[in-house]
Amino acid sequence: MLRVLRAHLWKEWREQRRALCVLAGVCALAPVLLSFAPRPLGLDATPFAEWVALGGGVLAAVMLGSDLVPREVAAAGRTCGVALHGRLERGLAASLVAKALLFVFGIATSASIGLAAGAACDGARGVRLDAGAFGVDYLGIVLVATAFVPWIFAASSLVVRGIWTLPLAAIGALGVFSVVAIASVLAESVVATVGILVVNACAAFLVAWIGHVRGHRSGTSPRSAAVGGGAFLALVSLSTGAIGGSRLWSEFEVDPMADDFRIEAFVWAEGGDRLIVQGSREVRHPTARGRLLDGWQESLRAFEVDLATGAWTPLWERGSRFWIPHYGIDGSQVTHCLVDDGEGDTPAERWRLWDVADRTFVAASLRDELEAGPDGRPAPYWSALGRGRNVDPTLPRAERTILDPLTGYRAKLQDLADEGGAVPHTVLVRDGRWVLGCSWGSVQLFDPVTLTRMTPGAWSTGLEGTKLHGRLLPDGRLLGHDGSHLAIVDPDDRRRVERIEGFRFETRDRTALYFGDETFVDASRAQVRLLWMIDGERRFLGRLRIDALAVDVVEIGGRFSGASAVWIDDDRALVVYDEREILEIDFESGTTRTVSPILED
Amino acid sequence: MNVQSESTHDLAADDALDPVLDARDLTVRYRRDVVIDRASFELRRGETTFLLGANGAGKTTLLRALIAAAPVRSGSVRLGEVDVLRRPGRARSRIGFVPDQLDLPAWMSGREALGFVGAHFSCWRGSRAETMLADFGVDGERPVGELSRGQGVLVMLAAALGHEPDLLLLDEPFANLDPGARVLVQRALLEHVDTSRTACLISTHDLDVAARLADRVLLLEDGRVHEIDAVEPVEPRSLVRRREELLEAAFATEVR
Repeated sequence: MLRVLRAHLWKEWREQRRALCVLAGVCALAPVLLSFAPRPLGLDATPFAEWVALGGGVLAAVMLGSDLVPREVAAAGRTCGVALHGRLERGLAASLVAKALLFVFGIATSASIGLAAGAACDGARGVRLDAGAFGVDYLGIVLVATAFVPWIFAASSLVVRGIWTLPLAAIGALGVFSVVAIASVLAESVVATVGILVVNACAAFLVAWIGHVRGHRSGTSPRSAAVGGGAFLALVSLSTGAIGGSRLWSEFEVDPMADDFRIEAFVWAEGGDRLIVQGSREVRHPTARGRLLDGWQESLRAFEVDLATGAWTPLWERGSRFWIPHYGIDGSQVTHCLVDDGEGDTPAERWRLWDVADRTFVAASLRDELEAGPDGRPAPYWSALGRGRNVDPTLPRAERTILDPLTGYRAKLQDLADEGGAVPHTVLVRDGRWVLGCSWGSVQLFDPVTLTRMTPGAWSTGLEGTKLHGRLLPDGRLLGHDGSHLAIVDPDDRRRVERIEGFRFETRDRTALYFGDETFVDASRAQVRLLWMIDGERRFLGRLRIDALAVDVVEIGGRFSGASAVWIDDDRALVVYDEREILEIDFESGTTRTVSPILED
Repeated sequence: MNVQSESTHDLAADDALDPVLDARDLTVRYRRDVVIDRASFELRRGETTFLLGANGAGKTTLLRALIAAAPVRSGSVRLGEVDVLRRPGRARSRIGFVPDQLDLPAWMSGREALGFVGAHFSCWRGSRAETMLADFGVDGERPVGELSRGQGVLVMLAAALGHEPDLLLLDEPFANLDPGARVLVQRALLEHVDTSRTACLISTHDLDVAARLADRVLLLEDGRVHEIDAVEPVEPRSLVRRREELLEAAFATEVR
């Protein structure tokens, strides 16, 4: 077998070496030619490497695929008799394997040369491969190409003339689409995706086998082989198409009762009886590095949830998205959210204000609101943006300007670096009094005007073991814990600490203690905060009463991955648990009620 | 006239005439067209058999069927103990085939072509094939696509004989050859058959050649195979008469 394979590899190499040289030349010269592209095309800052590599691979697949097998069939047709392989003891299988190997070799070589030449050209032009290179979109295209290319080879084994290869390969496109869909939807790991692609390649190779080996072994005419292989190809395409299509379609059917439904955001109008929830199927693709693919994000769906009955009603069109600030900048309950219902071309046109209480759209120029509110500060419904402090997110982190939404205070992060030069991950501002920069391992206190340190080195609260949390209380103090209790620290006098009773951390391992307060507080309930706490393996939700320096706690069993919450009144809050359940917590009675999903017995 | 029923040969008298290939009720059909209809015949060691028939009679198809390269619907072909239709690879290891057109890659030299073909046979005598090529007077370094038609046939003949087959099948080997090349191919063929005692089946339109060289003649007509009367070694003076007999037998339908 090896002797035959070696002979065929030699033959294929001799027959295709010119094509391979042409491909290598094209791939090597393509980035050079692209660098002379007219400026209006806007390729000046575009890295060529990834696209030339992809283009080279696809070009090689088309060129080689439309010639490797058809050349053999055409030679057989010229004899009007027996093809060479039909009169030899063996060799048809080796012939196909050799062609497949050369096909893969040609694609890999062309892509590699394209990548190398593109990288060299990019280097010479001073264009760097930025973080977006070889990103999710690119990998998606590569995935499609990787799934499609084997069918070019398969189709070529069913045709007498190479020119028919691509139209026939298009038949396989349905199968490819299905395979990609299945890989995207079902694959939960890179291994599974690779496995699906291997199965896809094997199916294509089987079609090629039917056309080339079976078709010629028994003396069947190429046309008969094409019919047999084409039928198989159609069968594969249709069956996988049916499976993949239904799977893909089901992905866009967002069922809030489905197990993989995830709540991503919700909003509630004061005094209302309905919760506005945005959710999606949790579809993650391995090649997207664990992130949601853009296409699947279209599966976002908004619903109204009846708090009394737990019934869900779709809101807006499929694919509409809304964006909810957690709380107003002045501490008030959020009154508006932003909705992208797909109408309009630009983001400013698409995002429209939606009044949560009235359930109506409000006409507004959002860009103006983004730049400055009526008083020169971001408008209330933009507080989420201010909270993110992404005033200029495109800059490197150290050069970014932070914005405190409560005060409008701005400062560059690099001015708040600690002695080691590390910029803070959290910046807290007490208007006109101090600026606190929390870096990993240290806390720095700065003068807000001069940005000089108010304490030498890192700031100590004076209470050993106190860990500050990156949230300000309404009165400007900070929340922390001392290893056993929650504590309130006042930076104004540098040392003042007040312990909060009502809950004691049991775990001695300080690294296993955590608490967070994801919400600002309603202005009318300024002294009440919602906390979520982790004490080793136990998870709690708590109501912090600041004026009483006390906390009421309800334990939430099982996995607890963060909380979003709204207050219904002073005693009750709605929280999303495990990104899935909506719970009503009554801190007064210490009970919980599942609003949704309501499971039937 | 069926070969089995009408053959007048006394085979037992001559060991050299052992049957090498035995075809029984062989039927080849392309879709609804029956090209070969229940053909039965034998090919014997050391015998040169010619296959005659009008254009489109199915001579090439019959040759292809004998190496399992045509859609055989029924019947059997045995090469010694080997069932050709069930084990075509093993059968082809004992059959040499020369097609009607050059089917070797045109860019290969004669020597490269022999090496390439030889890689496909488990038993291949490369030096013998190359010696044969040299004996035929073919330049082994020239691409086969640049060789004359006659030299191309000789390359394919060398390639077909490199594995020392028991049966040699040739499809129109003398077609479109000039007289010199025809003599060259015939001489090479006869020398091989004489020395190796290979069974040989040659399809041709050339009645003169058939009349001079054939030990037996098979006629393919309407899909059926008939054997034309047994022939004795041909004497020059009887050549004209033999040619007329063959002509009448082969094209009787058209003449009528």
